[in-house]
Amino acid sequence: MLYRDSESKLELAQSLTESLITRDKVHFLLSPYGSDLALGVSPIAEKYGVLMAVVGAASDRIFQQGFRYVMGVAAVASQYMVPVLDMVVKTNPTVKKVAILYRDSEFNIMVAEGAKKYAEKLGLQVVVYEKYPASPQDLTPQILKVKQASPDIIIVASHFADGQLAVRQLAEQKVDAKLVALSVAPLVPDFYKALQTKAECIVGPSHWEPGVNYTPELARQRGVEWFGPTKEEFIQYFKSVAKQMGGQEVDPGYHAAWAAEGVLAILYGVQKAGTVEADKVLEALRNARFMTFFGEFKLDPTTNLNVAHSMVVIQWQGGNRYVVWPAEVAERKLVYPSLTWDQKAAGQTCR
Amino acid sequence: MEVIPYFLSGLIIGSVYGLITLGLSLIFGVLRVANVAHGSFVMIGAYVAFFGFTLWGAPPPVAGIGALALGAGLGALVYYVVVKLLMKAGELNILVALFALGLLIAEAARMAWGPDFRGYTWSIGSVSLGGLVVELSKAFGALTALVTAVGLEVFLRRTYFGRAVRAVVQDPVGAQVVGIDVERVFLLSTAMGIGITTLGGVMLTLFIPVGINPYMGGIYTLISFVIAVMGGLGSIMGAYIAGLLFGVFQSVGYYVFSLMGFAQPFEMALFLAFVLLLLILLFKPTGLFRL
Repeated sequence: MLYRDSESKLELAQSLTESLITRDKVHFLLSPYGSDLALGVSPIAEKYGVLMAVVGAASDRIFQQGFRYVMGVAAVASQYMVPVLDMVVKTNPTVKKVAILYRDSEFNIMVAEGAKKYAEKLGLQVVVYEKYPASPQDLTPQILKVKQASPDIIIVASHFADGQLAVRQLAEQKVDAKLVALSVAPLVPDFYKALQTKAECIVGPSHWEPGVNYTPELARQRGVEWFGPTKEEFIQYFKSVAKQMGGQEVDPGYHAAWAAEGVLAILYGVQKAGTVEADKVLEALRNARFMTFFGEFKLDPTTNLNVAHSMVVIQWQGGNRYVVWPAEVAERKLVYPSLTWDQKAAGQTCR
Repeated sequence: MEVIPYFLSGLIIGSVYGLITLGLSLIFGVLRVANVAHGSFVMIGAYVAFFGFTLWGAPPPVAGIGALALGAGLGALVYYVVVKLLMKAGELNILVALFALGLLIAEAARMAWGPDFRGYTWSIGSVSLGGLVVELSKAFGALTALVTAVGLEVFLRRTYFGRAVRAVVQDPVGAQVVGIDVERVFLLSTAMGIGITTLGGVMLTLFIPVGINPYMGGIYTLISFVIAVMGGLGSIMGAYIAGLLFGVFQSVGYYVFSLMGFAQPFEMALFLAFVLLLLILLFKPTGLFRL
């Protein structure tokens, strides 16, 4: 396993990818983090016919280029808010108005477009649909517009820093809604550390959570093959590696699990094909259906996407994040409607 | 009046934009050097605020004083190590050296503090004003900017050193002839300029609670150049007022364009801010406030 630091710079990611393929002669690639970077290195993997598992990048556009050797192992960006909207409509069928704010970047645009389309399909009215800069200093104008539209649900297709900024400014301007959902930001443990009770009741879609249970038993029940470590083994392994690297035993987040799923998918393909040849591995994966601790895997031959994987929704309750949707894998019940910003400021938690 | 909260929020952020631009404008006015490493000093100020608050519990007003002193020290160093050494080699060489210095500072910050986004919260309450909830911490940032701009302007107009600076701006050779220590003026102007820039970095953190990052400076170099050119490079109050205008234009422009319902309002507001800049340069090439 070779690691290279792209420093989140596209040019560097591209040259490192090229050198991994041509100099280090790697057989497989895991994509760099972030849709812009993953999209940027995809043509290189394609050019050399090296199978790349896309992990930590979810823009639909990566998979719309017709690349044969670029494979997605989890849901794409346009699907991120689908379980959130499903959950809201099933919990409260009278909900009407949705406001969507989104960051001006490849991934976030896709999240927002997917959310808008799905909300409209569900018969909801999208009252605000606004883009904001990739590195915003101030979201007050956008937040004021949301306030004037008084939506039931606020969706922010955010990344990390801007997501926190959005929550702070929603709290500042006291823009109360029945539910606030964000992408990426609420999945990071630092979210609560930075926002404290402001983070309470906020929901977000996740590819995987330690609370989600995919087990060999469930695989047997569904009649699919189980592959790789169990959830407990993965968490234990991750913690020990994290301790070696950073000195702290941190829990894995969905990004780590997602990357592990990329490795497992490639491994599965190699084992089935009995070779490291990309075409044969890809063929083996296309004919397979299996389950890992991350969820089910079924590669769609036209899109090269894992179509069996479904996302879950988490909610911050009492300083911890819990899976609240779908109901069959939920650890806690969704708290709905959310507390108001005044209640949160008074120290109330979402229980 | 729905537009009032947009106007107020634009004024508040615009005031800090103005503060961040003061140092750039001062250094250009005196030394005729475009400090392209500007954003990196904004970043250093932001980290001073972050570490001051999280390690020692120092609130931003205290961190601001610390950043001002640290920035002034760094400014003096930049003057001796880069500007003075390359003065004879020409402006282009200084420009390239400062560009390299900016990259070096950002990379050094990444190595020392890591690439992660960091932030802190200094909460001192809020007031409701014209339909906008104004965080007092942000109001403090805006007020600090105003006081710094006015203070600097008064300093340049009323003190001996200030008059010496203005004399050097008007005619460096003439100033030298009448006994002004031009090199000292250059040194102190660079120190003051970069000190004010790092102070601006501290005040900026009151607006971007989690946006502190080694590479955060680039956008502020760009914004500051636009504002400085709008206000007239070298004009202190021009830079501050142009900062206010830029903030208001962004915020009110957003409101107006979102009413029109075409294109994305924040993109249109930014686009028109640059159109405005071009028009100013076309009809008043010295900027709005420079004679």
